[in-house]
Amino acid sequence: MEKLIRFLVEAIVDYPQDIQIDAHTIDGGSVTYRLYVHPDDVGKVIGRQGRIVKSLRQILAASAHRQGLRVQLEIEAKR
Amino acid sequence: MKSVVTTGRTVEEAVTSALVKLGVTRSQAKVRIISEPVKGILGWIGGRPAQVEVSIEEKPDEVVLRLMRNLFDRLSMTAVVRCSYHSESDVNELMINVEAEEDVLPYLIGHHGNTLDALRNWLTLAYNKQMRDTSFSTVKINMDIGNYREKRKQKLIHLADIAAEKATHLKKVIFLEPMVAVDRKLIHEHFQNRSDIRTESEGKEPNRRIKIIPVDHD
Repeated sequence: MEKLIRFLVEAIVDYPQDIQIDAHTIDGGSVTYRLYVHPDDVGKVIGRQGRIVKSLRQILAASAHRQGLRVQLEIEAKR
Repeated sequence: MKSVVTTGRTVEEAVTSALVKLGVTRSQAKVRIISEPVKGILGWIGGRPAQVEVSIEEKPDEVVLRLMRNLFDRLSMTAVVRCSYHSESDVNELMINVEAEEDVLPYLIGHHGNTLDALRNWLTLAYNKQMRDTSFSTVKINMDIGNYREKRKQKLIHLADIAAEKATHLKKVIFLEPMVAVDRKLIHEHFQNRSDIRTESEGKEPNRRIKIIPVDHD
């Protein structure tokens, strides 16, 4: 899943080297991925009205669903 | 984009060695000069060779296919992706058709085509990022998976035809179910040339719906 997130995000940001992903497993088998990107890339990952992050979550959910998993994706600016 | 950086005594020499490495001809490549050669005082001493970056100019369909292939790798799904231009003369519109096994199609399409839209959305962004400074930077990307869009289109038109039949028969205004803008547009266009009915959209999003109005309604 992390590889998929990295691939999806790398393809659309200006600073791919700044991408960092943390995974937190919550009870019940749901995994929250926290994605850190360069501050200038935050807008690129979220998009107007959250359109882009919505698409990313949709693709992740599809992949997770097929494997019987649940995932969450949160975006944060890298300090 | 595939690219190499090479050096040479002259710019031309650097470019030539890059082309050899990439295995392409000059017309297929894009050259960026990183630094011009500087002559040293005694032959090479203090001199600097020419440095160039040569990249292969990929065509839109090649870029799209590469992105999609990598994506399906990461998704651990096998799919056949075809990419065609809207027409031979118009390379600014691409149609991407994805075929996959019956059991993975629902995941790729999603509820009401949500995942399909998300994939197209991502692909467009990734494409634009990659092709920003090339001659193919403005391309419209359409996508269909397992003929979902095409089938849905047929179904919508079929439903609209039934409603139109009813409208002309009863000479009454008939409302269709609320639909998204692209679907409404499809139906408006479908009835565009009919002289016995006209169509209008009424209501506020997301409940905007099409009204089929027979010309001789009561």
